[in-house]
Amino acid sequence: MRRDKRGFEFSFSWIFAMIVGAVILFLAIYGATKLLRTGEYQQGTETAKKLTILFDPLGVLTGDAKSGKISLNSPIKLYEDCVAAGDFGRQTFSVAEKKSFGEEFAEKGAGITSSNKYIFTRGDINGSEFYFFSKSYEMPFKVADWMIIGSENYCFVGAPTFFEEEINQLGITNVAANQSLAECKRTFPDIEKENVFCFNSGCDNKIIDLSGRGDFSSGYVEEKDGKRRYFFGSLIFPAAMSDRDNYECNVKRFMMRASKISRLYAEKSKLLSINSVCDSGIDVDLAAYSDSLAVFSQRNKTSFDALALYTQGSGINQNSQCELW
Amino acid sequence: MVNDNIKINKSGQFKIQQMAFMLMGVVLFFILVGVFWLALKSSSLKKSAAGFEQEQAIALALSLADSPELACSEGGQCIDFYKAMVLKNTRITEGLWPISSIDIRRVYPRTGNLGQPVECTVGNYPNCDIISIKNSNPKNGNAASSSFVKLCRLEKNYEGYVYQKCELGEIIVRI
Repeated sequence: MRRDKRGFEFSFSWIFAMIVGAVILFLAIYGATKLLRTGEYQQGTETAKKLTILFDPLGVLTGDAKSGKISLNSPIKLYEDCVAAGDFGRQTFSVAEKKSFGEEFAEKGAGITSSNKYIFTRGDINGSEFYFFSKSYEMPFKVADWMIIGSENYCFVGAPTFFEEEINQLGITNVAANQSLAECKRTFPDIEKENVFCFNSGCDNKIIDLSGRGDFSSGYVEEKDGKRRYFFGSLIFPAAMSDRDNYECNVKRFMMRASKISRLYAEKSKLLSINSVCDSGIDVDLAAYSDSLAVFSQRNKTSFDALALYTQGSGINQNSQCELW
Repeated sequence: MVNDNIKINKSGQFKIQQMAFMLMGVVLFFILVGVFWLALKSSSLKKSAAGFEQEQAIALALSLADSPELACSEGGQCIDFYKAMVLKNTRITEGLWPISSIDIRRVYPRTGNLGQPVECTVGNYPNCDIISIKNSNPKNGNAASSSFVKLCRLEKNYEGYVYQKCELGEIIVRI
């Protein structure tokens, strides 16, 4: 019996080259993946920063309200996180871009925090086109501009004339005010049930007036599960078009800022009086109002409690001979 | 026989040394490429961060005059002198805007002050040139931007009538 004793001889250099080659290949693949991830993270962070900067001029600034569309080159997922702590609270925005390979969204980039923006959203939003709508919030003086951002369509059924006129004048393309549910379906055939709101009654989401005058200057939005978000002034839109956590947090932040602005007006009134320009006669009321708002901000209160503060503010009438705001 | 073995071992050691040097060379090459890439990346990151800061300064210079903390009752790129004075003397807006300072300069009419601009106080207004509002910003970058604004204040004329007097001003925002 003959046995073949021949075999393939691996020299040391071969073994060494293979091991080192494998290590280099592994490091190269690992490095490339890491680089790709860092690139996606950086891209997401940059987009979040760009959007946050863009929100400044998109505020109302002059006029009553503003609306439009933000178009991006590629789809993104926009995350929002609201915290009602500190002097003004803050909102953090982060963006996840589409992965370089595949249809999934990459890891979200670093969050960009802002204390002077009040953005209402309904959960995380994704897409390459976002509709925005901004308006001032007054209490009775202007507190801030709020902005609603979303990519979904909304329909309001049985809206009062002022509401319908406002939507039509602004030309908000993703919001419609119709007289019936059927009309709503015709305007937005694929509209989801939770984005349809009926004034008084008629569908799952109701908008109820509490002003007693039927002008919906104050009231609440009630969803199918019975949960309510109370609104006052221009907040009727955000109450309907944002989620509960986002809405309650931003309302609390409005109260925080209103407290500071009320104090600012009280100080301005004192300055005018010291300089013998005029006497507004409301600096004490303003200081007391500022304190009430500050107390609200420190406690676990909701939009329901804010309604009472809004009413208290409406009672502060400035002297026409010494206008503070 | 012994001599042959010694020869073989020497050749093996030489090969190991050769490989080690080669390996060190390869590693060094990759490290150098990495350092070069990191330097390029960090310089482009710094540039883009500075660009964003500048954009933010421009956006804020345009929008601050319309924020309720500074705006006149009539609005439209108009700053209320008394509100600016309150902000200067208190820390009401501390942490609201991502800025290190706001300067509100009176452009016209000039006060006639020669040399250094005179800082405004409640006592010396309107014979002053500038209102500086400090706002601590931990980032403290170098971006700045300005915008022309109306600088208005309530005044009382000799008949006792209170009116709004407006002058030309400039708001300078530093990030």
